Amino acid sequence: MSAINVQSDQSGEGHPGNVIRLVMPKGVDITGEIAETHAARARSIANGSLRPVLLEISGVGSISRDARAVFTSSRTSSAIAVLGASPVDRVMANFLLGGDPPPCPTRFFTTESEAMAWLGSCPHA
Amino acid sequence: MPDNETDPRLAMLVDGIVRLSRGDLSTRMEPSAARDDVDAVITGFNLLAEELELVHRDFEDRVESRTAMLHQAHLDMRAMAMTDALTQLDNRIALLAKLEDELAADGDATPPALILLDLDSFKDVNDSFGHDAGDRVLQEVANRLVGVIRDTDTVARLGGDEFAILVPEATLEIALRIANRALAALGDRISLDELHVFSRASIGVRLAEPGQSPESILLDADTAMYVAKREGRSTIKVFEPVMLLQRQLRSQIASELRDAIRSDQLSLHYQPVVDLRDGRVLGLEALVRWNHPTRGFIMPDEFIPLAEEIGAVIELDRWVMASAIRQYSLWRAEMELDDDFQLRLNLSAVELQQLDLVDYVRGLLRRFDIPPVALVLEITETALVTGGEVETYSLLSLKQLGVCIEIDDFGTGYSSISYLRKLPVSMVKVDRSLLSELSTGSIQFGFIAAILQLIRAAGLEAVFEGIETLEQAEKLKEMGCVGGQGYYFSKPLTVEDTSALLRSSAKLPLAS
Repeated sequence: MSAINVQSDQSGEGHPGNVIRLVMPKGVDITGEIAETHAARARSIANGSLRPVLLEISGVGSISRDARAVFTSSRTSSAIAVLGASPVDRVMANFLLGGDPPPCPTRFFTTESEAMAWLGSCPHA
Repeated sequence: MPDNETDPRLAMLVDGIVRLSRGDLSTRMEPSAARDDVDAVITGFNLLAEELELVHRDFEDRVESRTAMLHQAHLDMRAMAMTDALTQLDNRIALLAKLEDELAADGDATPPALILLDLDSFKDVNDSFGHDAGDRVLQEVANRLVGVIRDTDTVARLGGDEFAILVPEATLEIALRIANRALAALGDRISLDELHVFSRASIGVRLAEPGQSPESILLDADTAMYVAKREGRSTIKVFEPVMLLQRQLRSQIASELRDAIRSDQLSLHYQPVVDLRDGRVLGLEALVRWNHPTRGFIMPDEFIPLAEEIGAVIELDRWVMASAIRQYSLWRAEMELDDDFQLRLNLSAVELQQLDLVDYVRGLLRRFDIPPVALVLEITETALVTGGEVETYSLLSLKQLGVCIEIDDFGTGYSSISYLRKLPVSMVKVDRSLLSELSTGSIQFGFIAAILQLIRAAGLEAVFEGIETLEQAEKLKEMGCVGGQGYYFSKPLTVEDTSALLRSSAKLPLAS
């Protein structure tokens, strides 16, 4: 299994504090299990509080239904910005966000700066 | 980036859409490493195909589960339609189906037998303890019957208090063994909480014959069961063809009886009741006869039980009451009868349950101008003792009207003297069996004297019926008994003979 990149990003001017960054490994088919591992780490960092999440999916092979269900059922996120690069990422991101109504505001971005700005402007973030 | 014009991924996409449209929902395509717009379309195609496949599978699952539910519901309904809800036994439909299966089995196989059971006096349980108690008794009966059968036999409840046992591959011996076990199992008292009842049964057995239909076997078993019921309860009868003939004859006579009541084939005879001291005629008991156009005179013992069975007894009773009272009024108009002269009519137990009985009697007495005291209604001891609230109401109202009530056939039931005192009766007619036992020597006059004393102690008057000899008449007179009736004095007479007797003011017995 690829390395799990979960970190709490509290640096950078203009960036909202306490953003949890979840980076999906490139070229990997994201299963429910992989998604759950990331989500568990995110919950651990959040430690019971609501935190904005930057979910980076650039270059992932695919995102399974189970994985999508894990991300969209998150109860620890105040907002989720999905970050991708290619049109493929955009399609996958929209399937990720387009199912059941998410528990928090969600949106797709192609640049990190826009994503972080949106997370910062989100009222609950 | 590949040129869109020649991009092979577009051809692959077209193929994929074709496969998908043909129903291959597992169709997926591999996007290239380019991750460009065409790959985005491929990815979208894959994701949509996955959704479609999922929705389809979900739909299929749902159809499958709904179909299974529907099938189960069908099975449940079928089971419900074949099961008796109270006892969970097979019902009549299920029994007939199983019987049909047994009959359809290999022709060389031993035929099945059907045992039909009808509980004796079950109506009394419902009437006395309520339907809830009745239901519990039926459940207990079901349990007991299930306990006496073999694994291959089936107990069914046909409805009401009627049960059946299907015995496959039976011999008469096997069937009778099971029937006897059932009889024994029902012989023990049923105790449910504070309710203690006996729920015995009359049983008919029919061993199937080749080619017989299930319905015919059931009818035969039913016929045998009715014979068992009539010949004394708690008995087993095996079907014989003659039983069916008798049943058909009875049902024919039953329908003829209804016609007879309407078409005046019935007639009344009158037997005098005599003052034992001087032979004076104290009154007349009206007795119904049926002059059948082809069968001749049929006696009441034969057709009154039949009338009760077919529910024609009220019609019959009322015909007798109206005809006798009309005749009585004619005699009263034509000749001078003694002030204490009384007309005596028999009233059935069923009549006593009719709420309009009192009005009917009152109406007749008014219409024919008969004083109530000149009428005696004779009611059997059993009807009086087993009667409920309606019967008591009828009796009290009749007494209030001024009509005399007499206990008929006294000594055949089980009423105690203390109970008699509570009933609104004024007379007792002692059953003929007591006098006949006197002539066989099995009882003594002392015994009869004691009975007479008890009746008087209860404040009642006694009439003895069945007096056949001078000696009996003399002895009864010696004991101070006033009223008597029997062949020694006079047999029942036709209207003409009765008129002649009354006109002559003769004393009975007439000198021969």
